[in-house]
Amino acid sequence: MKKQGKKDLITVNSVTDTSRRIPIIALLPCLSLVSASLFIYQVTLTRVFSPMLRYHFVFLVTSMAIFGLGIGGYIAYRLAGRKRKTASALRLPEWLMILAASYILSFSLIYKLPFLDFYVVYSIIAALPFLAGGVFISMVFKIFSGQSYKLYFADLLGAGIGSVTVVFFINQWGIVNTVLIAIGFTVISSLVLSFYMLDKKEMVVPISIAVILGVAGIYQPGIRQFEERFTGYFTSPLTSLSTFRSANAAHSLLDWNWDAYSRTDLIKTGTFRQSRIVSIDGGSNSEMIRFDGDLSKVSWLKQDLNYLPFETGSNRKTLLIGPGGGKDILLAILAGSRDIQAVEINNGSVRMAEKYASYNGGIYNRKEVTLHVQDGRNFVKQAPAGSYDLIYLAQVMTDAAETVGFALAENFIYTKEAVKDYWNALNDQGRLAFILHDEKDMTRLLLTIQESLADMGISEEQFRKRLILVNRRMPGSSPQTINMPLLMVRKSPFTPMETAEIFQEIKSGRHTPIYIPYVTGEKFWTNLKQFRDAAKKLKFTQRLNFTPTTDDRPYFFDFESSINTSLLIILAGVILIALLLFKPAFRKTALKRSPYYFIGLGLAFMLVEIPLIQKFTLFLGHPTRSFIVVLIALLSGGGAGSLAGGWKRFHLNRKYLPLILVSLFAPVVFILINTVINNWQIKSLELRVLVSFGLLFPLGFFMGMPFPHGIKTLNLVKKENAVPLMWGINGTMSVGGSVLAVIISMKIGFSFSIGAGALIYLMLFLFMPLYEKKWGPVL
Amino acid sequence: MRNSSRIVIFSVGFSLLTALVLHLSSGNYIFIPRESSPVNRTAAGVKETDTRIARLVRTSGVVEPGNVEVQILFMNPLNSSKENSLVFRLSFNTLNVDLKNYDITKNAIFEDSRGKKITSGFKWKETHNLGYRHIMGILTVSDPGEQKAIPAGKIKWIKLILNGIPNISKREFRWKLIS
Repeated sequence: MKKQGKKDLITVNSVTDTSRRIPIIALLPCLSLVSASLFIYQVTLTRVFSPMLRYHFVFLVTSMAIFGLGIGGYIAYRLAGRKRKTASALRLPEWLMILAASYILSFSLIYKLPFLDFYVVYSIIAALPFLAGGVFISMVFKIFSGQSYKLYFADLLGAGIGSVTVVFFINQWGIVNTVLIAIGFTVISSLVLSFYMLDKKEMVVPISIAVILGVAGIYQPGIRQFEERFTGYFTSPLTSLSTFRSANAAHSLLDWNWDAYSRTDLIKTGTFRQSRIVSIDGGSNSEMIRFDGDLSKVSWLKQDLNYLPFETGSNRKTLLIGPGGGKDILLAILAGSRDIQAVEINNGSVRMAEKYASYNGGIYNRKEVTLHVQDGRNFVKQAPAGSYDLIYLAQVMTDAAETVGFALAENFIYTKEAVKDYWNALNDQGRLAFILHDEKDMTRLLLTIQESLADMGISEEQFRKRLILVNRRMPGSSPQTINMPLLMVRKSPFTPMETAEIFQEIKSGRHTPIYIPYVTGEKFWTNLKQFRDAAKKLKFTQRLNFTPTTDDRPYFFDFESSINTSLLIILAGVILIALLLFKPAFRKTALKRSPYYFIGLGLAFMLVEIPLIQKFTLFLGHPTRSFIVVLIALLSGGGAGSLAGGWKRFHLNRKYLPLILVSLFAPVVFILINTVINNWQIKSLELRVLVSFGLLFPLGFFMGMPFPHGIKTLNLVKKENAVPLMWGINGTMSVGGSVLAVIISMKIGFSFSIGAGALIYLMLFLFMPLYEKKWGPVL
Repeated sequence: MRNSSRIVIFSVGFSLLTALVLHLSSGNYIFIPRESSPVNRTAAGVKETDTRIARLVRTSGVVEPGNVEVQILFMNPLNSSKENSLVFRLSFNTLNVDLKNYDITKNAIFEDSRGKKITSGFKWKETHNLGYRHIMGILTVSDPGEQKAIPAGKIKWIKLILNGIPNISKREFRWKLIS
């Protein structure tokens, strides 16, 4: 390999401590592997934190960790500023060994230490590998700034590889093995670079370390035991396990599984004697009922309010969204349904139910049941019109920080458009039933359904004749307290005789009617109106947000009128640290305008990427699938684009054309995917993936050009020393951009986030802050 | 050997050792329910060993939809405070009951074997709050009428009653104080 032609060799001894030559053909795969390993670790962290912390805090902690990449750029800049090189100065392969060590340390501390009720510590521990990785990548960009297009290609390609493989790795081999693979990628890269940069005697160190880590990784019984003992989760006060523990209720963790979507636990308790609890990510629970095929033994379930929707009409064909541990399926079977479509997004719950088939009577494998592991909304969109007698959703909730890592996950099952889809899938006598949590989600869903039906020409008066609202009986609680209510709407209006019968059913079950047409009077609506009027008089920050949710702003469980505090903390933290750390970027390097170019790129990229991942979930049918497809398309497109970014036709005097192309393409792609979602029914998954790729690849192609173009420009004007800082600024602002994207999406919608990203790209094109005014012609 | 190589060896070695030590000191998930038993009568301020804590805990309710589990730890035998008031550490855990507006100081009643009944003068200090679903805090009881501390050592039993918590409207927590 040392016989490479001069064209492929890059001399590095003028700018680094090494006197060896690294062929670009060896450097690029190493950079890709390191980038892949960081991406894999980022997703793994999200998975590990999800059961331990509340999902807003998962986002906070992982964002602050990734922020470490930007700080790594700053450290690289400071290290490069040292005039005298000493023997203790770490070289590139040694930084990779430090990265491998930091993966081990960071993961072990998070996983094995008892729960720390101090999230800053988690952020710092989680950031360690990103610091080391940030130093390495920014040093590479600095040393080889002349090759920035190729480097960026390798960087994005690595992230793309990471996004594909991490899901496969976690699903196949679990969390700990996935981290070991990330370590393996880093160690291999280190060995390759060591071969070119270290003396033969010095090679003993990396080879020995690689052998030790390899041997430790091969011993799988030890790895499994390591994974089993998840102390951070076991001691977290935020989990179902903790709830049982503090109740001093006898319970045991019977089993668990982990995939790229969630951790699923099966808990046996004394509290729920006839069932076991399937707990997703430590908090979202459903019941698995003991069932041996004898329906008379589970007839007690008919007293449950959850059964009422099944009693109010035909159940020939039912659609259950989110049946989890299988209780909803059992209710449908009890009600005599012979065609049950069970749509469960979490494969872990299904695997658990199938593993314990002897306990639950093989609930998912019964002949009446057809299982679909996908997003419920997506399934309904594909359903033929007039198919179902009952569509039933019992406390379906996405309360998890998704594998998306950067973005808060949200599903699309409580939006106005979703109601239209449900309505379309119901037959003339069909019912749409929701079991909710409390007064807040009941009120919001009520207003969402009302507005959605109004759009379809159903007036409020007609809506009232179709609505049933029932509160659950809770001994000891006041009648005013809303506990897991039932909200049911029928496509055709109820008759007075029907509602009288339903009223009797409710009374015999000792539940409390909130609103029954013709029976309870209109007091409920008067109260609702008064409540809404009173809410308007409150200060903005005290108000609850009950605005009907839409596909553009589907954050149903975000009841805050103001912006979430933890999101504001991250944003403020990012800005503050960026101002403190990257001050030299504006001062010492005599660059007055260029930093704004990299700030803008970091913000704009994420403002575009995050809403796209969310929106494509609706099209592709599963958040994990959307995560993979969108990232592969954008990153591979970006990789290809970065290779082509140096093409002279993209330069128009001091303007860079890809910037304006992105500002045009991003809204167009968003409008197109909305059009496709709303107007086309594409059943074939392969075709949907292909359409997604076709829409996103060209956008990614142009999004991949501006960053390496900036680095290349700095190289041409002999400002290589500023490269780590610019890389750091860009990384830091990517975190800021992701937070901003979530805030904008939550409060005003995905389209505004995309619009903001496109606007920044447009401004970068128009004002082109990359070029300093004093510079002459650069290219 | 270069210093940089030493740094690398140290970093990897330290990380591996940390992982190993943490793993060996960790265990599988096991829960053993605590048992209730009478409390030894001790003067306020006398320290007990941690193993006694479980014996001082009283629980009411379970964590299930609409219900609230309330756990109370009678702190006095462990408390070295000089104030000599009776001190309880409370924790509330619930799945879906919003405890935001629950005022414990207005809903608590203290009784003891002397026939003493206290309905006001409670002090509540919240120490931990996770979204009004998991709340912990300290409840202090002193007798406002007598303006002095409740005498320790002369009481056979004490009782704390909490009213108005969903599912079980009246919850009684009783500690028998034995010699």
